[in-house]
Amino acid sequence: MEDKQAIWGRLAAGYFFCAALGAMVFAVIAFLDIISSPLDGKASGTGSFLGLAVAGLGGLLLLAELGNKKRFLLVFSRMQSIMTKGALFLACFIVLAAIYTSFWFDIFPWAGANAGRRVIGFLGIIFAVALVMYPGLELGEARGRSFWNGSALVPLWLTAALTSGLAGVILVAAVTGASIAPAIALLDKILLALIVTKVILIAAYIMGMRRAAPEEARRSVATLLSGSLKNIFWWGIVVCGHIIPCFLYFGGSGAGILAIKSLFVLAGEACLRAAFLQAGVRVSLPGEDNEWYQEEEIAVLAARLEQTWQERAAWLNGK
Amino acid sequence: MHWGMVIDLRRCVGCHACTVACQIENNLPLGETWNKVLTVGPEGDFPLLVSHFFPRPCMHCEDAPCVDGCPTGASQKRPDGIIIVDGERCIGCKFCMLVCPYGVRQFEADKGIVQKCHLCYERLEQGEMPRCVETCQLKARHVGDLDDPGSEVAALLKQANARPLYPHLGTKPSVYYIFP
Repeated sequence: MEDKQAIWGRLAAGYFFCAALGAMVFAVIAFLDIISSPLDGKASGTGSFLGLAVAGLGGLLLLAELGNKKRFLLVFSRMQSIMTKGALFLACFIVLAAIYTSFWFDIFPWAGANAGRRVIGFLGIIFAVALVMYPGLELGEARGRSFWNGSALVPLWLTAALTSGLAGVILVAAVTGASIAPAIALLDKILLALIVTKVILIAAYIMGMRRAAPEEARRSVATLLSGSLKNIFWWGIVVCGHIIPCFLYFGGSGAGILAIKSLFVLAGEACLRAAFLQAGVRVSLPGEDNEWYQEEEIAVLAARLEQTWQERAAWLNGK
Repeated sequence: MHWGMVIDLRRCVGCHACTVACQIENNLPLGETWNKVLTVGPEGDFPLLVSHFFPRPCMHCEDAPCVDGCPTGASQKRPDGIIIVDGERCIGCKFCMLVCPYGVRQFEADKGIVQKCHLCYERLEQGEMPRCVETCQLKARHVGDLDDPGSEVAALLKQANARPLYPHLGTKPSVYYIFP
């Protein structure tokens, strides 16, 4: 019986976090650009570059997760698969984000062409939203892991991604000195609303799973709230991701406070992805609760047995 | 033609011979099993305790989530209903392992691909039985054409009220169990 999902580990969680963060940082900057909201060019350029770089890092984490990296191009070969669609969204987003980012840097001859930049930005937003939404549907395909309910995960992860995107933009503005822009003050207020919305969504998700879902989903909830993932849930998601950022709203809107708040929000987001990914345990088969030994324990026992054999062999050979 | 299996849990004594035979047939390393035998129980109150064994091969689902989810087409459903993995196309993304509700797929770290029970389809094509069926001394395993009403497996399905594991998941497994 699984006590936590161990097939997709930290690399996959890192990919989900980075893709969501990168996509939504880009989407927020491109949206502000399209509606001509004042955010200085340095912050926009740095922010869109950060979005591109973080999404690219996510892509590298996804690549590292593959068992056979040389064949990674085959991932684009079957469009019926949600994974293929996700890989396509990521690839298109990275291309569009790279083109968009180039508009902000003077070394490119097309820099400053506002209309073209905004068209590319609009297309990039579409792929960014798709990139953020598909992981919920992807995990929802696991029929034996009822904790991952696709239709409930999509709004939760979309809200979480938007929260991390806003936090990322505010962090960039704080670092580049653009935190006094009126748009940042508005984004800061929207961030608070999203944090509160996310608390409600997480609570509703967990309570719904606890009451109505099959046995394995209730087991997942128990793992999150009081089992092996309780520290990452309570300290990572609840305290770092929500309570501390809310308290920091009483500390004013200085660049330092904004940066610290954003970092806490981002830490909470990373914990949310990791915890929800690991909590999706599989329906247990008859007799699986008798499987006392986990693979790691078996490996330790095998190593100990091998060592004993070697010692016996050395003793027999008179060494 | 639709290959399927009926496992009579009333006959299985948990000798693990099928597990070992499968490992030998497919040249698997010691820690890798495509055909695990789980122990259910003991259940009840002493001294009225009962226990039985539960072999778990690939279910070769008609509506296989692993085939639907595979991004490369490495997981395929053959016309005869057997689900196979093309090792040359597998990229080792492990999504099939994640979506399989029966946990039958194994990641081969040295090759970087996922593999699983393929119902010894090469043996079936030559008119032989899968190695686990051939090895089982207590005749707990039966393999045959589920579409043929005259086959042994079809008769067992009717007579012994065999049923698949977790039908509510909608995967339509081709492996049926006769529960004790």
